[in-house]
Amino acid sequence: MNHFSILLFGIFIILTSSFLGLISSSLNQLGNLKQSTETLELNDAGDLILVEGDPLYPMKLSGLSEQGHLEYIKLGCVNCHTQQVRREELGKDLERGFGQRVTVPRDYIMQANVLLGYSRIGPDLSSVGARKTDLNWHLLHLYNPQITSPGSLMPPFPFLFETVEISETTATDNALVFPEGNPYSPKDSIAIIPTKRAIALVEYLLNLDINYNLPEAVVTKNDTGE
Amino acid sequence: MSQLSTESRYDSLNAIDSSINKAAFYFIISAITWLILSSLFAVIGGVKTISPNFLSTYEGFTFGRIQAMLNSTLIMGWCSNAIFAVAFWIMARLSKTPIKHGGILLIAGIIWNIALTLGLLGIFIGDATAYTWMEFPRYTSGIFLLAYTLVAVWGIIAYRHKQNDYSYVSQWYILGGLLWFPWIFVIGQFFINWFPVRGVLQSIVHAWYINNVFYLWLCPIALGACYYFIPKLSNTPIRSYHMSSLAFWTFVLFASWSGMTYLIGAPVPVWLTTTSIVFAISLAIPTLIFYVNLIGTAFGNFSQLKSNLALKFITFGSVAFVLHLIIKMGLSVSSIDAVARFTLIYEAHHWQLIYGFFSMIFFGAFYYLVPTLLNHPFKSFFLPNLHFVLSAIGIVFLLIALYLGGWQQGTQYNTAELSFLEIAQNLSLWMQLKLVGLSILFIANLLFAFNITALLLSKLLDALPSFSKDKLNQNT
Ligand code: HEC
Repeated sequence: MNHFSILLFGIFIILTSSFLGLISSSLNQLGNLKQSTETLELNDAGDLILVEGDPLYPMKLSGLSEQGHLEYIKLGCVNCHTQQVRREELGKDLERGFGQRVTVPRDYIMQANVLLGYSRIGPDLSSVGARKTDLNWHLLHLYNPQITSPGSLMPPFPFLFETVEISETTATDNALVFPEGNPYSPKDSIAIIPTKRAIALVEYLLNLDINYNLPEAVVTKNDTGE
Repeated sequence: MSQLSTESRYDSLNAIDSSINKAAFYFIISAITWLILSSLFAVIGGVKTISPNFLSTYEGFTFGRIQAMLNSTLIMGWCSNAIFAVAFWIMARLSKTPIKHGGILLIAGIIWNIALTLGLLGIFIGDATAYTWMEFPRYTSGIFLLAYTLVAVWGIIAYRHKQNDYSYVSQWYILGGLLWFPWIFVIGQFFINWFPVRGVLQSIVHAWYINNVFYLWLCPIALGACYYFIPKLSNTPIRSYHMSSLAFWTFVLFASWSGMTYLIGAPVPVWLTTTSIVFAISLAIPTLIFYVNLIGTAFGNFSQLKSNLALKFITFGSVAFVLHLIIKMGLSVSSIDAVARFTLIYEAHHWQLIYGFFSMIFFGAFYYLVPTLLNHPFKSFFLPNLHFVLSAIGIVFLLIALYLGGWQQGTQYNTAELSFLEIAQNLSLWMQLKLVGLSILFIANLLFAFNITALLLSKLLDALPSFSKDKLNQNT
């Protein structure tokens, strides 16, 4: 019996210790992070405080971006894309232009679900909004990646679009604009219209951008451009 | 079948075995069903990574959802049901107590599988969470928990009068696994789905959850099975058995603390990952003991290893496990991490644990358990042996493709001139090999299902009243 209680006690201690050591302590350290201005200033009492009137970062997502964030989860983009920029010595993230600085915990506090990701079949998306700014490019790419990136391993998401016959009564002003002579272009009489979901998703992607300063993470890289 | 054995030991074993029959068969059949389904998802996913247009017009079959369904059927379907089938039986045998109230277990099993079915439908329509290996929708977590609570209630009722003697290390592993799982599950669900923590704390809880589900739920039960079966089937006591308790405590402690290696380089405090790296490297101690205890014992009696099917599976699994741990240590070294992070190497590492280790151990266990429970041996070992060969070849293929492909992917990633398009295209050979591996595993799993079903059916035929058997004989 004694033996048994020691065993039970050990079993209990093992998991509790790793919970306290890894999770509780991080809760203490990171639980109170708040938005911040890009720089801080000293007040009369000698404390560092936010600069009054400056915008707060990271910014809150707009309603539409928020919906796009949910679409990103529903469509499983996280299986191929990360959203984190690592230190220089751990990989070529900065050199590849995934961001102009490494990401820090504060960057994620406004997100309902943190999508750090675990696999990079595709590129990191932390700053894709700064890299790829064209709405139509994103829509074409989602409709079928082969249009913009022939040979891509990214799956197409045609169900985010509607195919309509062009006629006088249908509104086609937001239809996709295909590159001249692309093999994936639809017939002339057909228009491809993005649904609300596609628009929300692209709005989210266009807003992904960590190239702002935080007191603990200052943009260091110059714009590498593409 | 109705022959009475004069040996009383045999009688009591029989009583233990028959006490668990109904629930055990339910879990065995469910486990195999989920296994087949998971390998179907794996093959579909494999095709998609070669030709992304495959099945892409249906939202439910998009790559991410197939991946989520694959992970859920593997962990909550195949692994968990297999654990329920084998763990209670080993416990009952080692503590020499028949299982009472198996009906409660059966109900728990049914609820568990309902939760998983709902979960898969949920993932199919887009309710998956954003967290790998815990993708099943949040509304199913309560049902899983209800099922597991029933298991616990059963445990308390069945063992309340029993002062157990926990003298075998197998029992420690299995008891540990069964007690850790609900706790890991609740902490994961609580901080991620029920009352989400903010920011990267989610990722920290997530890493902790994945790591503990792997190393404190799947591993302990499979190790318990190893420590039970290897000496029994090889007819040799565990080599250096006195070291096994050290291996137990060091393994579970170090493994549980090593979880933050998933976050090396991520935006989390550096002390977190550094701590976990230290523990990951310390896994060298239990790894060495596992090598001596398990592999040393199994290879100690080579003639038995060559002739015993279950032992072959279990030895293969033990070797895969020791290699898995060595690779885990390697992956926490930062110069290796700089190449391996975010590549297929991690996918390989998970397959090695779930298939190379866990599944191979449980195939072996099933090949021992099912004939024993039925009291009806295999007449021919040709197909079961073929299953062994196919699984072994399939997993080796898969792992080579993913490890080498992943290494190439990581090296090319760090060559900044190569675009992602080029890197992805250069992976195509490895992706094709991966698909070959997955397809072999799919066939192997079908053969496994066939072997077990055929044994069940032949037992049923044997049990038919003799007149109908005569009729059958006349017809042939
Ligand atoms: C099977 C893996 C896979 C999945 C799933 C996936 N992608 Fe991709 N993605 C890629 C690959 C590979 C590339 C690089 C080639 C290209 O541009 O298509 C890429 C590129 C991108 C790019 C361009 C980035 C750049 O810097 O050029 C964006 C934006 C993108 N993906 C968004 C998404 C979104 C949104 C989803 C989910 C709806 C998604 N991806 C799902 C593999 C994937």
